Amino acid sequence: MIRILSVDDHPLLREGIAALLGKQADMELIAEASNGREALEQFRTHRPDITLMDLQMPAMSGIDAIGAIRGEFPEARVIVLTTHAGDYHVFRALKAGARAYLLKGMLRKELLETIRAVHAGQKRLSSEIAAEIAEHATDDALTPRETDVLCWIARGNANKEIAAQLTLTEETVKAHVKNILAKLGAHDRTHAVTIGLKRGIIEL
Amino acid sequence: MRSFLTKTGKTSRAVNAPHSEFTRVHLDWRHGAVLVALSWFALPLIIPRPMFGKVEDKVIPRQSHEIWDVAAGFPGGYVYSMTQTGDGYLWIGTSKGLFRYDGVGFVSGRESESSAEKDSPIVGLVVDSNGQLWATDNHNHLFQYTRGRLVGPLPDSGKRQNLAGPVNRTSDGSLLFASEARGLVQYKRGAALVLVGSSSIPGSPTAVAQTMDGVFWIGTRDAGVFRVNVSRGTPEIQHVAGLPHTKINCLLPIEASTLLLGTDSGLLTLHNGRLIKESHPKLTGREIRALASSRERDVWIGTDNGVYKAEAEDIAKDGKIHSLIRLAVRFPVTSLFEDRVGDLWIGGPEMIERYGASGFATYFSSAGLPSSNCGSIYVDDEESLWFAPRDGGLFRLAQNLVQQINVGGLKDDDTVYSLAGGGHEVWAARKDRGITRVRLSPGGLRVSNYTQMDGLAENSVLSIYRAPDGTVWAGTVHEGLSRFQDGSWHTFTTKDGLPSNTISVITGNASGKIFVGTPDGLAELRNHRWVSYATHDGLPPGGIESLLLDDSGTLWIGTAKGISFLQSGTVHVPVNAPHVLFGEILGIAESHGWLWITTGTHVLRVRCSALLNNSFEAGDYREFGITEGLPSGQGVKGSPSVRVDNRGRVWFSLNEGISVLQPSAFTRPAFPVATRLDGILVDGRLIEPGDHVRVPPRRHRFTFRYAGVNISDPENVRYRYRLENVDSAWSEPTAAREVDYTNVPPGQFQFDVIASNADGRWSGQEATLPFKVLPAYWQTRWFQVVSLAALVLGAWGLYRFRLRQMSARMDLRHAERLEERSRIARELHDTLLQSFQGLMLRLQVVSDLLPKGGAKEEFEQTLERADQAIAEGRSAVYGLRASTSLTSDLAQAVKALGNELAAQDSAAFNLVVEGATLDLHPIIRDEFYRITREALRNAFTHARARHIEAEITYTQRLFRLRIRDDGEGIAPATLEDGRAGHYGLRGMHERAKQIGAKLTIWSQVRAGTEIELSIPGSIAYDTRPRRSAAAALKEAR
Repeated sequence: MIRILSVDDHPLLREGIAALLGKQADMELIAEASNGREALEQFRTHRPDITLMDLQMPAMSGIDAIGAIRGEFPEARVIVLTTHAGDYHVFRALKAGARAYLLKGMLRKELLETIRAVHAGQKRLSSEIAAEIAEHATDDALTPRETDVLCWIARGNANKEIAAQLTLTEETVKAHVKNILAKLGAHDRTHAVTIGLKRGIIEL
Repeated sequence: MRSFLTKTGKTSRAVNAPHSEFTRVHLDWRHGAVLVALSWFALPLIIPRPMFGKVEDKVIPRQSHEIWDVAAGFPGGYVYSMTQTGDGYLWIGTSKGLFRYDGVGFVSGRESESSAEKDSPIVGLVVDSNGQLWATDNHNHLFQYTRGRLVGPLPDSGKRQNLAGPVNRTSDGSLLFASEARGLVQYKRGAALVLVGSSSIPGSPTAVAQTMDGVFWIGTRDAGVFRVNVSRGTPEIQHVAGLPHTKINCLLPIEASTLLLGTDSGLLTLHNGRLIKESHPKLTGREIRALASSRERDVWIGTDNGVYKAEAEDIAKDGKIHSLIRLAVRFPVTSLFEDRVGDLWIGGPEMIERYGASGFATYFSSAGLPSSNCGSIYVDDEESLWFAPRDGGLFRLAQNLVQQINVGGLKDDDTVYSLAGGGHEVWAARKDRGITRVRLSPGGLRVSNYTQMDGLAENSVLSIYRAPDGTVWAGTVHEGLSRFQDGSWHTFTTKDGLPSNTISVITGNASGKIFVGTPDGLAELRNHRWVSYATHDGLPPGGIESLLLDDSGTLWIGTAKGISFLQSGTVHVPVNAPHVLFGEILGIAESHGWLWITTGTHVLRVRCSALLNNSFEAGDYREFGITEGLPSGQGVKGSPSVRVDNRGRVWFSLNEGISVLQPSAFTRPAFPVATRLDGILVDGRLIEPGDHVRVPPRRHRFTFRYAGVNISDPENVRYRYRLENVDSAWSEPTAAREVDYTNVPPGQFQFDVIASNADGRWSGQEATLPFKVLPAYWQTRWFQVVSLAALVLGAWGLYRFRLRQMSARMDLRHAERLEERSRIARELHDTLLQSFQGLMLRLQVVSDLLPKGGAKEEFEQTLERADQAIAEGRSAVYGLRASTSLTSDLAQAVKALGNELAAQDSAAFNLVVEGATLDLHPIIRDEFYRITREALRNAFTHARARHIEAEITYTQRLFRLRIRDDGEGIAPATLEDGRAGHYGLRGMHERAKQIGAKLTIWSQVRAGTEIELSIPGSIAYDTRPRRSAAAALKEAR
């Protein structure tokens, strides 16, 4: 019997998952949580075999929750359920310790199989997401400072303001921006922000 | 400014004792033979003296005169000297300084100098032959007048020594001084010529003069007179011995070698160096302070008790004066000057008087004449004036005494209608009493009366005329014309050809011509027959009032309706004459080519030639009145009431008095009146004339002040003016001495003014004042240019501001829409889609419960469809987000769309992009995309085009998208009303309008369609703050 914790802020989705899992003989939904913090508490209480984790939630985001759970329970097996396909999301989720990454549109067909596979110790990525990651695999990752700069750009700051915020010279910021554009393959700053958001490099 | 006029005999009647001349007359009469012959029956009658009427008070003729004292504007001071410069000003040297009079007021002649200098006394004034004014002060310094200041002392400026002394003008126009310091000096063309050295000059010279014979004379304060002859090289100085009075005040040369000496105790005369004592007994003991001679060689004598006039004819060759006329001047005289028109200026302490010697002398009714209407007049061969007042009586005025003639039955209430005379006779035509003849004889007056009983047609005689040959014509009231010739009477009536038996006026001449005027026309005696002229001959209607036959044989006819004249048997009417000549003409006389005419309302003078030629110009006509010394401007009836005496004087019988004019008076053309411009009063502030007069901007009222210089006749000065560049012509003549202009615009102007004198000629020098009205800053060209530029810039700025405002509003709207859309997207994504996904999971559970078979398959298929639907929904939601964030290139989208549509159609599609791609606002981009999609679909679906082209243009100013096809075009009607729903035209317009874009569609049937969608760059391009863009993207996950 696979004991499952379902974490999603959306009740109807949780209900759907519950209904699906309820009909499976080898699975048991032992707890539910609507945000990351609850998820950590439920995990501590129930120690589920598998945790189904939404990424975007109030209170504590999915990635953070994964990190927290994995921090306490390194053996925790977490499957990410999300609507996001950005490589950085996947990458970060995987880095945080997620064993599988499922887009919500695929749940009906792939959830059960993925749960079983992960429970069996496998890691699973759908082909779409694998392709997404592959696309950017060879890209240079942004440095933390570049990510910071991109963040500030996304907040609508000009180079000068960014320089002031980050105690850099304007020239340095310019150089960073240039690198960001190059690394992301963006035409301009807005495009860079768009790409950054899409790929999950930055969040707002 | 103007003093009171004292022209109408305000002083009381003269009460002085009759002077010697009159006494002489009495003596003459007393010696005459006394013939007593009383006859009402035409017997000659000699009247003894006791029967000669009553002696009336003395009647003094008055000239016009005017007095200025301090109250009347005279600046005051003791008047030492006066002179007139060529420009017409009268200059007055007084103990209070130099003053200038222009006919209007007195101003300081040293206006450009300090007040201390202004007030220093000026003793002597002379104008040299160049018109230069010279002045000496009380220290005998000589100055030259220049532009409001006295320059000097001359010629050794700075050396304040007694140079000049008494000053006079020599016959050649140079200056003459007798100076203790310098001698007798002639100052000519800037050079002082010392005639006699100072050592030879007698002490205290007071007067200097040169007689026509070239001899110089020096009068002294206490040593009499010295004769200086320089003609023989070395000057001879000779003291004139034997003078009874040695204090000399003034000298006046009157003949080639005759000199009048004004002393402290009478007037002395030197003739050829010989003393003629007692020029005139009346002046004995009088302090003679001033002497002046007139153009007529009359001499004016100023004394401590008034002014005397010695007429030229009363001055003997040796300077002895036979007769003196005393003027009605009552103050001590200190200075005399005759101005260029002949008026006498009399200076005294604190006052100055103008005595109008040039004008009429008037016997005022109010000052001694028995009636205010003296009727007919006659001047006899003894120069006595006879007059017959309308209210009765006959009077004679001789030697300023009026005597009533009450011999021959003449009484106070006897009316004499007409007077005539000649050959020492005076004829009077009487009412109801026939005719009286008065013979002037050394023994007295011999009187004869003629009545009906003597053969006269009627005892009421209206008019009388004595021809030079002694024939007397008497016109009666009702019975025709009687002629008295060779002692017998003959009467003419209408039967003889007279137009009427009432004869108003008769005239004739030495060659025997006789004309009579009647109420019904004119008649002329020709070869014993009367030829008459009536209205149908051209005579003005109304009776004839006056006739004058001049020396040329022209008969001047004064009628009740104007003047006309008879020449060569034809009556002419000068129709162009001034309108007053078409009134009742009461009297006509001719003198020096002028007609003197009186009417009921005017006294005037008209040039004969102008009347004859019926052509009148300025100066041909002049009216006279009180100003010129007349008692009034109203003529009276009387046959005649105007006549010329044997000496050529013109006598006028007028309402309120009788006036006489010297033959030469008013014969010279009036002097041109110099016009002076005093400046512009601009809004109350005076700007003096100058070369570069500049008037500050924005001034409202410009008052130009000017004055004509005419000291004799200021009342008759008229002005005309014009402001060049404003007035197109001269103004109408005006007497005003200032004129206002308002609202003179900025620019260069010139004010011109010219004055006319009494004869109406614009003969003076024009005064001009060029000036510039400075423009206000807003009237300057540069300001206008700058303003225009500023306006344009302002408009541009406003446009930009409005555009920015609009685009800001658009941005805001777009941002709101974006927010809204993002919210919807988020809602859809977060709730609906996730809920669906949840439901899908539960449906999957249901599906799993279904037994295998049709139902389950059907259900699985449904789930698949639902998955697709959710995916589409997701992608739609994603689209909402994508439009704002992900698909940034409109061109790409259009291209993709076009290619996709082209793939299913025969038409070819291509896209042209011009300009560097700029980021469009997401909303704009979306709306453009949607409009473009609609347009492209129309083109592909409906146009049946072969080529479809899209063109995207990015410029900073504008973003533009065009779609062209070569298809069938859109029918105009469709284009206009959009045919609701068709081709989505309305939708396209609405979308375009919503985002602030302009959609234009050109289309013609079979000529294709072009749709242009354009939007200003400021709206189109994404200029929102980054944060805003980012915020919009925030939810896009």
